[in-house]
Amino acid sequence: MSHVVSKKNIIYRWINHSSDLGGAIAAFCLLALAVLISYDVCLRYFFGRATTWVQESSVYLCMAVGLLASAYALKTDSHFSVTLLVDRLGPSAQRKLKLLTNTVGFLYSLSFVLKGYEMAVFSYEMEDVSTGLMQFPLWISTGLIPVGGALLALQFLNKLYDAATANGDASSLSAEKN
Amino acid sequence: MTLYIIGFVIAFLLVLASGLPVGFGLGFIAIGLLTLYTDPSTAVTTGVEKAYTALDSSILVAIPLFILAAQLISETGMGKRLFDAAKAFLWRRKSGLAVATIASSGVFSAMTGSSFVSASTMGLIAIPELRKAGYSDRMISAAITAGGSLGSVIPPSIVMIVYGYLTDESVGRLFMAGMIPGLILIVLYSVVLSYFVNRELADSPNDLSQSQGNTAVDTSAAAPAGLSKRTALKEAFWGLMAPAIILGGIYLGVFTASEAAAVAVIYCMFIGFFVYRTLDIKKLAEILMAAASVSAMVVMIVIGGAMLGHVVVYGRVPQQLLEVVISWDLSAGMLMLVINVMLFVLGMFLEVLALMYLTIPLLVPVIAHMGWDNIWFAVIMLINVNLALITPPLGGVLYVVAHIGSIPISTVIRGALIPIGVLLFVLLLVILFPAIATWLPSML
Repeated sequence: MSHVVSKKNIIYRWINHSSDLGGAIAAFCLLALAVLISYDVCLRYFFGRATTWVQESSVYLCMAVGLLASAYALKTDSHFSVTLLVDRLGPSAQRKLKLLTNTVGFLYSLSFVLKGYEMAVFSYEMEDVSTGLMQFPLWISTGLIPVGGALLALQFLNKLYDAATANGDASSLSAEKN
Repeated sequence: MTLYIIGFVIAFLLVLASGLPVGFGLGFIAIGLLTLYTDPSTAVTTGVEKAYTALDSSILVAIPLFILAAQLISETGMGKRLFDAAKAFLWRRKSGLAVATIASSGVFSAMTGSSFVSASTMGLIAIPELRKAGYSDRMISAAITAGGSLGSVIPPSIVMIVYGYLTDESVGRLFMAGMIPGLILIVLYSVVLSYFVNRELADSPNDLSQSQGNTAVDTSAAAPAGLSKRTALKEAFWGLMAPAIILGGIYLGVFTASEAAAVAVIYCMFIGFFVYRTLDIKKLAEILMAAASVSAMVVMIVIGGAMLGHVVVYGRVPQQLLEVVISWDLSAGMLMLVINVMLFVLGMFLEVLALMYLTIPLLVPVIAHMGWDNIWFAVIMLINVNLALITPPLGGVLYVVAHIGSIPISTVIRGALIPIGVLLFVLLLVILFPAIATWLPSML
């Protein structure tokens, strides 16, 4: 039994690490976004030149920030949710509602993985590129959807595990998280 | 038709009330509704394609950057220095501290564009000072909720960027449209709060010492020692330069909104690392992670909202709503009243971006049909968004203030009634005098 629990813990931690990694890459993309746009502004006003790639790549970096950090935001409970009514429910009802909402979240994320993967494969096979001067391969940007969706789906599994094992005892849950 | 909309709104509220994060809730409802028109597989494919299309927009680039700028301003101590400067200049009577909170929140909002960051940062800075000066929890709540609500109207505002994105309106013009209403709000908040604070201090000086957490009440009206105006201004100078760069750059056509946000980020990092020396690599990494996290939350709402917007348009709901509105044969004034009552009521129950994504696609044809100026209506919408932030039961800023100040939510709500009253008055002013919103953008 303890072997099973330990295995679950390894998976649980691995999923959390994957969310952290997604968050870290998103954070790097965010910094890159600020630096690249500022570089473009400087180039334009101080050297009278303009890049052809910063504006377009900034859109893709912005996508990466949102999609890759989403699982990390879920892990850190940063997604805005309305808990006014949920907070008034008893522990058992709260647990059941969390199981339901996290299942919905998991299925929603899974749809991003499946359909996003189809979109990315289609773009790759068709050698789709952006219409801008950069001609960016679109399988990379569309590929962010299944990757972000997969990270989210995994984190929703962790949330489901939290809800399933909570039994109204929050302390055991936070201890496990750490 | 009316039953369809009522059913849709009830389903919408139920899903959001379930505790499912708002962004996922919007997307889930959208896919669910799409299955009414088509098979589940096509519904999901359409939903995911709309999600991608929604993100493929250069307007949205400004949002994560302004969120990052807000986190940097908060963490580098710029907010504290601004508050100290405002306090040094505005401390004539005790009520000056409330005015200082409003003024510094206004400047802070002009750098960050986020009501939540503004309320949480100014709350952390100002609440201990307001308590020390003997303010009651109700007045503290009034001051911080009022200051926090400025974030959506005073440019640059994330909510305005989303409005521009949804209606194809110039974000620069929208930013300028918020300037005068924002300044009116600052002045009115200051005047009204001063009145209430002075009345409370005069009426019940003894009661003030009973306020929560108030252990050392300073009842003198003199400014605290060591708060020289010159020093405070010198300290706050770099912080005050940030809105000048952002707004000046946009107004003079030097930057787009996204570029202004990026330059603000680099500027704040420079000040944090080399001027204030409050930033190091470890702290920057933490700030970046936090900003990415908040950005992801917004992006998920944008995705869910875009999917829902597609369903609403696909189902020809705006056109049908327009037909209903035309059949009512209301006067322009009455229609404006109906729309504002609807926005106010929905705002009580919806997160602000969800409110915008739900209502704007529905209202755009009505605005066009009535021949209303889009910029004018944008400001009316934004004031309603401000109200949504501070109206119970789900005004997000209320909970931020309750949490940071350890104030009972019922007290925070009583305090928020003051800024709610002011906002309603300004809303009326903007409706009656559209030039308040449209004059400055027309100069661009």
